[in-house]
Amino acid sequence: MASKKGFDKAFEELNRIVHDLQNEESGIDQLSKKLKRARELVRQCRTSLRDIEADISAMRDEEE
Amino acid sequence: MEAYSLYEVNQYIKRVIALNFNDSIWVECEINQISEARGNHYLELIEKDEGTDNILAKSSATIWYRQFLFIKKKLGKQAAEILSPGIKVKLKVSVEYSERYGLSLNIHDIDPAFTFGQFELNRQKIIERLIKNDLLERNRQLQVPTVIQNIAVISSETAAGYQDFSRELLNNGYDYDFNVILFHSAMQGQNTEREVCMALDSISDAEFDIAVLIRGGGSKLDLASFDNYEISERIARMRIPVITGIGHEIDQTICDLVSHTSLKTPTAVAGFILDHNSNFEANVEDLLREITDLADWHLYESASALNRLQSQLESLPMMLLGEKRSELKALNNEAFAAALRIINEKKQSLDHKENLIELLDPRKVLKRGYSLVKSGKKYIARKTEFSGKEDISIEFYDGEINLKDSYGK
Repeated sequence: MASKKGFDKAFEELNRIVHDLQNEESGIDQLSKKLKRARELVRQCRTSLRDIEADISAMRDEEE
Repeated sequence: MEAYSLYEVNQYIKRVIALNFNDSIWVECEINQISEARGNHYLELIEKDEGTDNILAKSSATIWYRQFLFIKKKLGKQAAEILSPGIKVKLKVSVEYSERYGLSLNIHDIDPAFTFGQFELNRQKIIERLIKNDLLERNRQLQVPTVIQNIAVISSETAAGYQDFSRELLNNGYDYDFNVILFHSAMQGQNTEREVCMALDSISDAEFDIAVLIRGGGSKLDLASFDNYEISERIARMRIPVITGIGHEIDQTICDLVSHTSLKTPTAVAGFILDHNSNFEANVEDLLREITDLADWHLYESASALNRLQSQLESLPMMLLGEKRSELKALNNEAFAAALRIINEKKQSLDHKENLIELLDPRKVLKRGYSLVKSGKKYIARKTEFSGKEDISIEFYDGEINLKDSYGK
């Protein structure tokens, strides 16, 4: 399970999935599975961004 | 031929003279020699050729004691001055002849105005000659050395003036040392000209800074020796400045006229020398003060410049650090801004993706009334995928039905 990969990797995978879904390259059978994975990746990316944002804010507070 | 006795001859001469000189007469001449015995004065009178100085005439003359008392009463102190060798005089004489003593001029009176007039005339002649020979201003054009140290003094060793001069100069309040050499000379009377000239001739200009000609006070006739061309010419031609201090008289002698500087008394000459040296000392002290002030000023300026540089050195790094700090802060802010921008972009991108995912969810299609055909677990999306034999189920938004089951019923 690649749930703990970094933002960039996760975002890249998400991009690929969305691209596949848009172009209907994967069969309908894979659909829900891929959607599920995409949702998970979106969540993961959001968490990642939030963490990075918090880190940046903390750094800023430290300097000021 | 008849012969006469000497007495007869002399008697005859006496008569001729008495007939021709029955009154006394005024005679202008020069006293060549004079001597005194038992109150009587015996003179040798001469007349010189003005051009050649050769003696044209010479006679003996006498001032008998009684006449001398009269003359002395009339002339006072001037009597002795006028009755000196070298003095031109106008005398009232009676011409007498004695059979035994021969011709004699008896002096009854003296006209002092003539003598003084002669002096003045003589002075004018000398001055004119000095001007003609370009000597009047010559010594004055010499430069007195910056400091006077070696002084040649022409004076009489025993003269009060010389004593005054030495005392004033050597016991000075400045503690100045002088090398004073006396060139002894008579300062009055017949020998004055010769001895002063000799003294001036023997002063070496290499050895002395100045020459000083001094004598104490005296009457006009006393100082007449210095109305002299020979002395004046030598003074003019000296290669060192000659300072004179001849008597207290208001009138200047010709020596005073040709000298570099003429002062009224020997004491004044000493004062002049001391002032001259003390002026130099004062100048040196002024210069010293100026140098010290300048040095102080330069030190002060340098110290100020140094201080300025030091404060610049101190403030410059802080300034540079401040600049770098500001730059850093700006870069930092930019970095944060860029990071946040990237995050926002990513957020928007994620939102977009989420929307897409949302749109692609088949449940959304089912909700709108569409349905999906399935054969077991597999969706049948194309007609070609359907054989007609397999069990079919239809998926709706709100559930799934199995067609076989329905057919079976």
